[in-house]
Amino acid sequence: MITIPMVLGVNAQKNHDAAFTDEMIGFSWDVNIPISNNFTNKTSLDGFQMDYRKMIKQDLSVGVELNWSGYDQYYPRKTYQIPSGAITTDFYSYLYTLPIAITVHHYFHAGSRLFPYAGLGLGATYADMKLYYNTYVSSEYNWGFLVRPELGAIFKFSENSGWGLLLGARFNYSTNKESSFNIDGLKSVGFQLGIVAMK
Amino acid sequence: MKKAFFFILTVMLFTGCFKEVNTDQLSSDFVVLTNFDSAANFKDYKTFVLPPYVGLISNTSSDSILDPQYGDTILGLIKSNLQARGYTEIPNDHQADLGVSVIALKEVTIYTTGWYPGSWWGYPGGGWCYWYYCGWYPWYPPYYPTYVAQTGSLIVELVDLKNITKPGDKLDVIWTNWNGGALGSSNTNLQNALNSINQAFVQSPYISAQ
Repeated sequence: MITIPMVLGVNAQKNHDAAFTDEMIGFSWDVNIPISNNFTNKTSLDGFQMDYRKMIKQDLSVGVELNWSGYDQYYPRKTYQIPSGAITTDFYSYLYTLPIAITVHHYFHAGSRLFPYAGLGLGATYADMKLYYNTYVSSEYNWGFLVRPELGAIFKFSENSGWGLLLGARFNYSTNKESSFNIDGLKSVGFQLGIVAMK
Repeated sequence: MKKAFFFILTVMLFTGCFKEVNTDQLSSDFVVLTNFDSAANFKDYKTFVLPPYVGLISNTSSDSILDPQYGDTILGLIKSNLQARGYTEIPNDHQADLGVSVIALKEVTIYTTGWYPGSWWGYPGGGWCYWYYCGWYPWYPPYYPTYVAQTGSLIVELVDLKNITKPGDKLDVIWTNWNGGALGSSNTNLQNALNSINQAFVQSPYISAQ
């Protein structure tokens, strides 16, 4: 008799400790604000993210993130000093980044529908840079190492729903450099708003 | 199913994500680039000679001289800019401190692309005709829009004639000005060239005989 409640108690404890999902896949709109960027300092509204996460413990997941962001900015005609000379032109700067990261996220349980998280992504960033001036274009591309700490939350639409809302923020740092465009690393603060499907 | 949906959506968005930059806002004014020899002291030079004409290199013409109605105007502006900086023009059969070299380049590139209209209605069969093609499969006439892009450059150089020690010595270029961009009508091109020359001197305040 005494053992029955104890067994029930143990089972109940296991259910409370179960992960809120087994795996999830999410798709988000990704807005990025460049920081200390001499090439372009205009916020990018052209960005998307796909991420997959697999729970390996009750409150820990590993996964992969794939993003892209496009930045473009017009600079009016002006004279720029260069070594032993000067150039006068107006131009468009265009930066396209494709970060790919392996991620780890820790989840904090705040009820049965809200799951805040803190995470870290490590990976690489492909960057494509172009300058358009008059009828000409100068372009370079390169790869860099990426690190991105992030915070966010997943909000399930209902307790038993397999769908939820994802809201996140992170700091991105990539080591991409291009001296001809005066780029020494790419830094940005990003915000994500999207949908996740959980299983 | 969910994964397939997201994967397909992602592929679609990634393949469409290279944004076409709208360059309509870009000015048609020439890009003006100047470069100088940091070891040169422009105050050491007092006189200059101009060439009798502006040379021309083009991939569509065998002309080697820019039409004098444009070339003479360009040379005249270079002359007035140098005189304003304290330099004196002397006849080109005299030994001067600086030689002025001016050359225009014109390149014409033709782009063509073709596409085919949508399928013609129906299929041929005995006795059926489509326009004047009877008993044959429809002929799909392609359309070839042609785009012509002309770009041009005007290059002005100041050459050191003062420090030649003997005939045949290599001539040092102490200042180079490259002006370039898309070409339009002849009058537009001339105005762009003249504006560029003035800008080149504005961004080269070190060119001064005083």
